[in-house]
Amino acid sequence: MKRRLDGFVLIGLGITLLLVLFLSPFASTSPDGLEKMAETKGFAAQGESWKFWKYAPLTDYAIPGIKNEKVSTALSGLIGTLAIFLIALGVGKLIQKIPTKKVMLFICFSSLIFFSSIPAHAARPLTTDDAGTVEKGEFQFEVGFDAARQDNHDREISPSLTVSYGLLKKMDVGIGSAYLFARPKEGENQNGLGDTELKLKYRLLDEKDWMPAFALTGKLKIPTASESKGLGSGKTDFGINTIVMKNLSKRWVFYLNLGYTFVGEHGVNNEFNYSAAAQFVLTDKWVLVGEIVGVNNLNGRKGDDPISGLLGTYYLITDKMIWDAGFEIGMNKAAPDFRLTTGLTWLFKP
Amino acid sequence: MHIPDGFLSHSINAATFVISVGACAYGVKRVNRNFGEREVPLMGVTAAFIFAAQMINFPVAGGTSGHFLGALFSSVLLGPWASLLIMTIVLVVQCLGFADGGLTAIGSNIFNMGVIGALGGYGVFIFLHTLFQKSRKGFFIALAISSWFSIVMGASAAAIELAISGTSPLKVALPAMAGIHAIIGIGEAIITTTAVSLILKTRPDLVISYGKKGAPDEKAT
Repeated sequence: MKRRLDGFVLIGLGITLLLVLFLSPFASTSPDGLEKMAETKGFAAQGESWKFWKYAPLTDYAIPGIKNEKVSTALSGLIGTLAIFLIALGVGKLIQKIPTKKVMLFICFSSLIFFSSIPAHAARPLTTDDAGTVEKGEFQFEVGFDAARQDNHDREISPSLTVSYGLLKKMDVGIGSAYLFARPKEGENQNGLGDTELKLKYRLLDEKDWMPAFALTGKLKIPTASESKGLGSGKTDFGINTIVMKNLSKRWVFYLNLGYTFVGEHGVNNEFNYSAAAQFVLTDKWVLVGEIVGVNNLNGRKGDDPISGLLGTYYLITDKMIWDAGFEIGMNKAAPDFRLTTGLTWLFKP
Repeated sequence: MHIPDGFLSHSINAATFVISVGACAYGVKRVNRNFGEREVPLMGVTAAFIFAAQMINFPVAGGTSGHFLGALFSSVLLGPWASLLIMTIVLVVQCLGFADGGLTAIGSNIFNMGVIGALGGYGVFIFLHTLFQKSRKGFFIALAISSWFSIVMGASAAAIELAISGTSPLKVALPAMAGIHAIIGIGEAIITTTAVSLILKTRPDLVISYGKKGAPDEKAT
């Protein structure tokens, strides 16, 4: 089966270059399906009125300065074909050689940068916490729906509900839990309540001039999940989390979280958790978010410390109601292969 | 069907961008898991061939032209996730280098031609291939029909995006786009089956989807 490819690659590339050199100059110059429709239905001008990217060197498959149209098309095609060959080869090598984690980090950040003041109280769909608290006397309901698949094809679906209340001007308290539907590839399906989390958040510093906002949370995990069903550890955990938030411009907000959890279960190390997130305000309704999130239990083994990346969006239906969705991809075996999440946040003042 | 800047609303561009980047990121993970030394040069040639073939517009009815897309072609050669990445590379280079397709609409273009065209088209292929049994004839029938679908589904997605953006009402855009691409899709089916049958004759080991059980990606997992 494993025959050498060199011959095929050369022949394939040769045929491709012949195609582009000798056929592309004689291609039909009629508008394509979409252009034709834009012309006949009268919205073609909308596409010509502005261009976001004006620096294409070979605009419309022509080399500036070459008068002969056919030569110009053929040569620009030749350049493009060779460029694509090298780029795809490079990307392929990169993906194959470099650990997925690094490639994913690159994709996450470059895609956020590509899209170069809304109140920041929508933490969902991020795992990263924000430095805002719920307004005093106001309730916040967060309903979520998650579906995750592990690398070994174990699946879990979990609807969740979190209720938070603005206790003081700078402090809120929240309680949340999920119902788990565990669907392992092998073994029995298990359904049941997940662990319950009690969370207190305090805003230490508000953002001022160059100073980022700073907040602290304390979390208590109450073991409401069944240990015998394998849905939880059956032990109480306690954790603290520090949150830094900085508005870099009207459109960009950055978050950093660093926390430590005292794990109640015997024989399990305490854990560090860390995450970095960015938020980009696209329009006054749409916001894009992305994050890298991980946990490290400091036992020296890399394989059991999950790291994953999430990309998502939220949409302000009204000022008090926000819909969100996110897509998380695990970057190692300890993290889920992927997780889809969507939810609704509703702020309500009685 | 490369959508230029200005046709779609920012909401649609943002939504499709997030979906496309998510799909590509997951594609990177799948390709990283399954690619060996031999697939990498094949990816280069396939991408180059698709770019070249996309330049060769053929005339269809009523002063309109169409061109090869190649989403199904690369899917059967290298698997749907690699195909999605190839379509993405081609679209990004076409956009940045040749002003073909707008930069703000890049998410929508990748969504239409990569997510819908390559992943969706490959889904149709797998369904039909299972339906028609795994014979040589069944393979080619499934290939021809699914490559036609990849074009028509991609064009329909574009029409729906145009409609949501308020550029053209759905009852105008959908029949117009799906109609003309139903003809372009025939060209796609002919080119795809011809190209794949030529490769099958010379190097059958390179067509990953031929004679394999289930999706090609599953073999390495």
